[in-house]
Amino acid sequence: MKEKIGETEILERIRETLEKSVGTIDTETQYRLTQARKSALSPGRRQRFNLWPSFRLSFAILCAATVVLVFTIWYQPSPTVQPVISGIEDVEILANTDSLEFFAEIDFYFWLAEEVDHSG
Amino acid sequence: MPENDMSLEAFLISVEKRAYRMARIATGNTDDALDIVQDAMFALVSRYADKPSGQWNPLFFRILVNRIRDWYRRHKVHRYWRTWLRSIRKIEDAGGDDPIESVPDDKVPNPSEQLILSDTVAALDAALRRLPLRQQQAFLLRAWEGLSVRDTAKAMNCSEGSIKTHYARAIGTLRDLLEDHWH
Repeated sequence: MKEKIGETEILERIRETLEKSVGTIDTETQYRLTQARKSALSPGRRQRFNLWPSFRLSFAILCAATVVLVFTIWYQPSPTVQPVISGIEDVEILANTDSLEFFAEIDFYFWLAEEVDHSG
Repeated sequence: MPENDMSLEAFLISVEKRAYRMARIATGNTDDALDIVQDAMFALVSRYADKPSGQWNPLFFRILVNRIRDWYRRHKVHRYWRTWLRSIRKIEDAGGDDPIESVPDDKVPNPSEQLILSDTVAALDAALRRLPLRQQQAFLLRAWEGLSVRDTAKAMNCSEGSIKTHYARAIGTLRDLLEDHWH
């Protein structure tokens, strides 16, 4: 029966192998890693990256403004036709409890009253 | 050189190859691994360059771990669609040549790589790839990068207890997988 490898031993071997594996990275990959590092450290790139938070803020403000605008337009009360009471006389007529027939014939009653005055 | 005087460039030089190997083991793909490392470098330089240099190591590996996780999420969806499309094609072409089948699998090292990598490195890579991602990352950060349990937990955004569990399970699995090879 085989003896189990101890934890320390296996860890040592794994570390050793991983370190060795770093040395097996091919030249092209190493070159690309160097280019990536240089690009990350280049002042232009850093500046461009630093602009990102301010762009993000502007974008957020623009979005918020758009939402407010859409909300305002969407929930604006639609113009409804309000009943207009044209004059105080109309209010009196509506409030009066007398028969509507009287007001319908009001011209006749004015004429009648004038006739009575003239004849009297 | 005192740690605080170390330049950002010197720091990146000191970690870039290990970071690449970590990403390469996780993704099984050179281009994706390089993209991930490049993204992590950009993020560190743009956000944390003014932090004390002693904090760069855990910060850099935190970014790297997150980028690898993002890659996994994206590729999970991609793999799902690829499997689905493959099953559809198989039904349609019953026995015909499937173009998707002929696409080389990124996870299988190409012959030139196999020649470069020694047997031991290849065996270790294969064993590490068989670990679940969280175990793989906890193991590499602790055992190779030398981060403390606390820093590893910070880098992986989980509890210290989880790190201990992931690490212990990873060692157990690696021992089982590599014992025969290394005896």
